[in-house]
Amino acid sequence: MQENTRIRLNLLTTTILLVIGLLAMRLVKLQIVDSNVYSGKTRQSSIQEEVRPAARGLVYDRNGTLIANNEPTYTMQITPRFFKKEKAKVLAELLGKTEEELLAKEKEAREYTPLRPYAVFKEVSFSIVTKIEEMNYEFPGVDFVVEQKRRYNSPRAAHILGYIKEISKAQLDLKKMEGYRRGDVIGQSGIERFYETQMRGEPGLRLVMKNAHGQVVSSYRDGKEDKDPISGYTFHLSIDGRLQALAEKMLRNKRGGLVAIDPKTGEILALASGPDYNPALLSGAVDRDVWIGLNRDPSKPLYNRATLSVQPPGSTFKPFMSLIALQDGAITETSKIYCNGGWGTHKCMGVHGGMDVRNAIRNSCNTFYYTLMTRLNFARWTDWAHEFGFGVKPDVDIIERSKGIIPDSAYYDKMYGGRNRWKTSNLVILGIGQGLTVSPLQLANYVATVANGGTKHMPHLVRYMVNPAGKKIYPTITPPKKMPIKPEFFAAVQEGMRRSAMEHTRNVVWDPKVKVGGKTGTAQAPGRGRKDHSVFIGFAPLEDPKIAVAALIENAGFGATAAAPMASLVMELYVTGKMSRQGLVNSVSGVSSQGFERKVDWTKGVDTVLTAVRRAKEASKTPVVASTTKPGQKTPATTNAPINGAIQKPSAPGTRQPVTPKPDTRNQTPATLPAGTGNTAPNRR
Amino acid sequence: MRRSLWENLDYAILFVWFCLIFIGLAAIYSATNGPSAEIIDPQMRQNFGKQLGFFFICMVMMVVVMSLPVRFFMSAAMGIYAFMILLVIAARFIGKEINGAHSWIMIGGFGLQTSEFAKVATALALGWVMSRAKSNTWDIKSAATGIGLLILPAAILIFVQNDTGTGLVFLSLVPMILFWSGMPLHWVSLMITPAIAGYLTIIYEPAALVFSGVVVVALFFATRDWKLIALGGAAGFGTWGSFQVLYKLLLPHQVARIKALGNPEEYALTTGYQTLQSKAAIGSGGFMGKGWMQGLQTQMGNVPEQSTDFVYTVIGEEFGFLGSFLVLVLFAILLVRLIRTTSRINHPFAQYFFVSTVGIFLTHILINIGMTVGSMPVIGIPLPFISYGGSALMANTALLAIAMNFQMRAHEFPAHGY
Repeated sequence: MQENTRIRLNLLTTTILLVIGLLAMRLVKLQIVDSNVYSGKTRQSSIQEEVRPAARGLVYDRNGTLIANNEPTYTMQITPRFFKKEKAKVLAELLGKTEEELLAKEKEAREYTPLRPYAVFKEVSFSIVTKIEEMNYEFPGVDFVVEQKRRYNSPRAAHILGYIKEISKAQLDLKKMEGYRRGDVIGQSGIERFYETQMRGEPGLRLVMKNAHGQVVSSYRDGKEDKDPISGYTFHLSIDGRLQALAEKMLRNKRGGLVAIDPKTGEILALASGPDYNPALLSGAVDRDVWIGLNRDPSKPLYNRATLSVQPPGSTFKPFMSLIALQDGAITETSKIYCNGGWGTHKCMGVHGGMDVRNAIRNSCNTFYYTLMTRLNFARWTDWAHEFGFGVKPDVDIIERSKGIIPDSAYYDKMYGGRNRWKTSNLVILGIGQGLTVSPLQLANYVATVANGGTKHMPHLVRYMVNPAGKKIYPTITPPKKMPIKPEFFAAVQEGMRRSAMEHTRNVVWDPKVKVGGKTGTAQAPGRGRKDHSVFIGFAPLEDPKIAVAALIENAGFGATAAAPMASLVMELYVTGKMSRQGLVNSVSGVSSQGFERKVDWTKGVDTVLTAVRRAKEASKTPVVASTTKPGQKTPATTNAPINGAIQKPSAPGTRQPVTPKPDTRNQTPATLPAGTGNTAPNRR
Repeated sequence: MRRSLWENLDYAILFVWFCLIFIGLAAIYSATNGPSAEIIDPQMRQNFGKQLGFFFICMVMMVVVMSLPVRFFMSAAMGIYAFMILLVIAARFIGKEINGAHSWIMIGGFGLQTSEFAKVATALALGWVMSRAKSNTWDIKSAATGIGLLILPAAILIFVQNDTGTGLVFLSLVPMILFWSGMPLHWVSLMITPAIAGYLTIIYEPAALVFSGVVVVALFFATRDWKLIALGGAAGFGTWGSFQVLYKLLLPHQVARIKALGNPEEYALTTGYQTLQSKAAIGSGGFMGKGWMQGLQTQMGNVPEQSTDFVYTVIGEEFGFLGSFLVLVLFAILLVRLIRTTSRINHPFAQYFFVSTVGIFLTHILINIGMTVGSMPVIGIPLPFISYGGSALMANTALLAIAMNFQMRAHEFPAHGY
């Protein structure tokens, strides 16, 4: 054992010396062999890293038109430790800023860290950059980095693209592991947000040796370890730029949304929300007044009504009612229900007499659908609605989306304050699309499903992406789902919609030879004295539908006044490639939502908007600029930023304060309540 | 204390201890009171003063520990262990979280890092358990008892507290105990093969394959035992294979974190940044160093955690190869002296304590310095006697003081039938 102990002691000693020896060898390699590599040319320097931001992905529409790309801009950075304050005056003059402004920024940078470069001014013009760079030695601690700024073309597609913004502190904490840093921009809404990972690209890195005065001495290891930035994926959207532009044009003075979908694939051809804004306003250095103005505008231009705003669908719900009634055996294709002008206290628009399902859709006979509601099982009705995508968040590549309200018995129990406090007769208004809420996107996908004979596709905006290696990448699309409804029932409903569009509404027809299916809706809007919502769903051509459209224009009157012609024009443009009814475009563009008022046209160019905002501010003299903002503090843009793109301030549509139902859902009549809650739902968070 | 006891004291160890703490204090001062003080957390500026205070406390503690008789440690070993484990558990519930680890108990204004003190308790308890072993062949039972009942529970508790570094230190005691309890040497080699193969797989995969081949060949010539050879192959190549599977299973950023070790530059933006800056600091020191308080990497605050886990970079940059090599030499002297003493005290209690202490120190040194020179992953673990941190300094000093005590009082150990 003594011998054994000695061997083991020697082995231990050897291990110790081996470990120490290996570490010493590593030291020799680092400090003697490679010392020059690590210390650069001069020994008195240290490594600093410079991040080189990547350009975000390009975005094209389905016709190959460029919607969004990037342009380089210069950002000025200050490293406070090396910055000479006595030079501030000269520098401020060159920059076209005041000395106080510059010193305030310097203070802000110093508070962050005096030793690292800190971005102080974004989008410095090239001529100024060259002037300052020429006198580089005069301004130690001042340098410029090239950053990529989004540039937008036509159509604006503001709500589709979404906007990007400097990463907030909360987001940074979450995303640190993914390589985000302070000052990085991150997608805040739309596809910029949904596809952030693919959009963003990979930032590059430059390692430089700096001397004790903060001046770059040399590159580190001759740039061997530098990394070039890799741009984001190129996006090919399913959007048709012409349709999108037309829809945006018509929606400018309306609150509402229009969504067009290819019924064969679920590709979204247009998704417009009115009023919209020029996304360039939110790219790069965002003006504080512009940001506040956009957020406070009562018409809520940042709010994506096409996916977020939920309203009662009105009569556009009737094709759905017909389908499920046929499938559940509540009626047959030929059975008739007699309309004598109403159903109890609920009125019909006319005295229609005996109505079969096709003519009930054509004439939009309320009596017919009141009756259906009494024949249907309520629980099954709720399930069917969910099946068609109502009352659930749509499966779509947009994060900002609402699910709307589809009542079930639990919902009514709560509303009426207990079980058995409500009767079947309370449900009948659901049959005509009141007492429930849906979004334009849900409506569009529903009409696409009706048009293609019962296949529910996942609506999506991105057809494919191309990665930097040139490989096509397809987004994850949920496989289509076949509705458990017989095809002949769809045929019957489509025929009803044809009659409705071509014999009843009529202004949706552009060429009598092209058969169109459609249904208008005039939905009761919440609030006294409010105009009805104008709703329309339609598809064309009837035999082989290429496009399905839903439009929901808030407080604009009858379905045939605004929504139907708008949808019709979009369909015509897509089906024929032309627009034969310029007069209709002009007249429908003239229709505006009740109470719509615009102080600033947010769709104009950045400079025009800025002037308008300043003028409006001068005129009102209300201190819009947060008086709480101290100089040197970060712009409120960052602190007020809505995290998910939805505007959180509860501001009612229109300038007049409507009598909106309380969010408290109890003790409310079903006729106004769900609509009311729906209206405020996105605001309640 | 009797005069003759002082004559037995290992003054070399005492001297090394003083030197290491002195170098540490100089490095901590430079990292927290130079120009870089502007940018670090203001609280850190007090690190030097606090560490100096802990040093005085440690000197008092050393005198107290050395005046205790050997039988005190032998009888109290298990009690101390139980108490420390309770403290570790308590820290999970009443403790404070610092840097993600739940192992701190606040006393007054100071945090007590329970896992550090648990090291001392475990080393003592291991000595006690292993001295029960009777036979002088390999006693697998007591080794298993020591590992299963003392080391693993402590290690698991500490891993649960999210203190990975200290947990690894406990695990490193497993091979030490097995080795010292007389495990056949080829088994020992089988045991450490996966660790080395795994390390090489991360750094440079071909090296892992060559190493595994060498193990198989060596086992063939040493034993000609096909079972052992097969096991050796499994230990080497199997480890390499499981890493390939692991890369497939883990998320990309987790794989990046592992691979960053072999190639920090490629992952400089995310995970390899600390290593990059740390290597640059040490490398730029060159042979002579830039001089105390003169290192730009240090003074521009480029290296994170510089007064604690990355303190070696200050030494590397400002005292150069001379300074950092001196630290290695001092550690070598310390460890080799401890091993030499082990052969002099013929009692398992002392021997296992010494072996555990050597294992603990060696793991700390390997992981910490290995991390700063870019050979080891970034795992938060202090460099003994040099890094800022009162608990670590006191626990490590206690280990050393007990070792010096045993050596001074070697005659107090009862005769043991080895």
